Amino acid sequence: MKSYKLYYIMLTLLLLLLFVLNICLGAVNIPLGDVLQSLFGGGGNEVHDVILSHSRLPQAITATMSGAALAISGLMLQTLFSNPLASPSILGISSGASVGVAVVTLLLGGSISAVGIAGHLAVTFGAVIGAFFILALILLFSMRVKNNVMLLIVGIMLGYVTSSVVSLLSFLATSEGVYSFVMWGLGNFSAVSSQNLYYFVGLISFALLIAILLIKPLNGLLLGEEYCENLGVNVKKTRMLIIISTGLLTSVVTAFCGPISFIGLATPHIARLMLGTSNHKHLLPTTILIGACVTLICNLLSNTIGGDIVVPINVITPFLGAPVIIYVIVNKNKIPYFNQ
Amino acid sequence: MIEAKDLTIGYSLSRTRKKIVHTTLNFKIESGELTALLGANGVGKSTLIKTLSGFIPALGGEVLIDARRFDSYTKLEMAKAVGVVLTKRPVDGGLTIYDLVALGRHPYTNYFGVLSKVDVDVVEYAIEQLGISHLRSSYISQVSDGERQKAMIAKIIAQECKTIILDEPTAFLDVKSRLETYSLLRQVARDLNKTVVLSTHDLEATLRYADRLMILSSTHGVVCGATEDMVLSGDIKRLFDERDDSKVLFDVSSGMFHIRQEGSELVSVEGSSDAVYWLKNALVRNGYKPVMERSSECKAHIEARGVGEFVVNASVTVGSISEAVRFIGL
Repeated sequence: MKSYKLYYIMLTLLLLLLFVLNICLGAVNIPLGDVLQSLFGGGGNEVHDVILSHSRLPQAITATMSGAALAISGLMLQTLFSNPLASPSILGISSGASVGVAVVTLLLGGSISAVGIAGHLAVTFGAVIGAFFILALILLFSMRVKNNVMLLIVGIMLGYVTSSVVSLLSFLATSEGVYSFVMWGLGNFSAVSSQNLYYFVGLISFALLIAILLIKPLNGLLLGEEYCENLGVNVKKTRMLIIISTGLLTSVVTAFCGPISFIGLATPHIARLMLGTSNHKHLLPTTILIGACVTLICNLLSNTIGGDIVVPINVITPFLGAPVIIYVIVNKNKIPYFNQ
Repeated sequence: MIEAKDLTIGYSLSRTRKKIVHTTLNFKIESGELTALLGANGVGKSTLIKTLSGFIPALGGEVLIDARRFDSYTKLEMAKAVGVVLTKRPVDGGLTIYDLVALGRHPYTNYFGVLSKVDVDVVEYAIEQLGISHLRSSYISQVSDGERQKAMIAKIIAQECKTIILDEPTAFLDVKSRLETYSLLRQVARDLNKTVVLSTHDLEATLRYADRLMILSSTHGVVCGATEDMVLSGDIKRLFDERDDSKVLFDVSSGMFHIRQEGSELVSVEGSSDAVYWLKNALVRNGYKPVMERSSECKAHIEARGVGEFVVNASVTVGSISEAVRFIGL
């Protein structure tokens, strides 16, 4: 039990360190002293003040929340479908959100960065509708298709269908709209302005809270649906709540930051490998912490490795995520949670 | 105690269409006893088990658990009253055996599933009872089938259910774990005064360990009775369909079924009981009908004098059963 405490402390410290690094480093490096002065005292370097309050701080908070959100969505989907390869992007949920965003931005001719809070609301709304639509379809198929691999293939097929819809919409849209949509698709944590931040953090926190309240029934699901029911868990209600929570988390993050890949898929595996258990009591909080850390690392790299150029997030996440998944699959027989 | 009154079991295919498997089933399963549900494949054992477990609704009639109507239980009350062990494994192997048994406390713990002092004690007791203390930190995916089955039973003990239902609990187990599991379940039923009912195809172990048999057949529905009475009365033959009756013979003295072979010749046997038992076994397998009385109709006579000494027709002495059987075949 004590060893878990150590993990929490270490991960929290790492999270704080990464958060500070994300604030300090970038195209312009701001010394820690200036950061503290600007945050608590004021009256420091005015340029630094503006960069901090309008760019670095919102971006670091957005990355932290998005990482936690995507990681926890991945974990819940993996448990719900009892499939270690389930994730918002693989099951096509992110693509569903993309279609929603595409409809709003391309069809209505808006550009994501230009529109104000009303536009953001419309984009979020579109993403939510799209994500929930795909989630509902996946759920429907999951009742018929009991085989896990087959279900993943259904998810991938749905992803293809949605991307063909997106292609059609792009074809019909203005070049400005297409450019803005492509940029959005590369992933970016800087699109949440400080005004939108409260609304973003509020929605994510609400959905994370649902996830935390689901720890007990999620553990029941590890045994399988019938055993879970025999433990007195209302499986239907639990499934509904998991869907609502993951749908909300994925669609809000996707609407603001684009379809971020691999965080949702890889993070729960890192957490399980680290803790050596599938018990959500520790796995869920740890996944939140690791998700936030991994995403902050990605954001840091995106802001620093290209010098003055910001490298898109989705260029970086596969380099961190794919090796984890390959490692897990190659060592499948040695990893307890991978076998029944 | 489980009681079924005019119970109809089956599946609802849609709102209007139903597939009825059995109607008007009436039976009582008492506590403090191990009851075995036997029946040929496809006769509806699983459907009955699922109905009694509450996974599928009864299509008619009623089930009473401890004298209370099944449908008056809430999900939580149900979880505390009836524990189920299925043939399916837990879908995730990444829990430790301790975690698995502790999940049995689910219906009793608070919103976050935190184990209280009492819960921990109950879990420890269950692990102790099943003798799996040495496995507590092993993962589900790492233990053997028999050990996992014990852990599942420990989980049900931790769940403190009065009624325990098991669907083919010994299906994948080797002989040793199979007998251990049966004897354990018998002990649980007797010592903790629980109602334990299991479906099985394992007739040999059933006849040895089950207090009661419940035989489900497509023609007679459920027939219940004490194990030995069912054997002596011949009710155990209901295990097979009527049309198969002519082919399968139940040997009351050995408690085994044999396939009848046409035109078998009689061979009389005598000697020490152990040797005669296995001699008869070999004769039946080779298409003879062993009898104890010597008569003129017998093709041959074999006397078992001891281990390694069999006398055929009072003249030839051979060293093994197989030689004796081969000799009379010449």
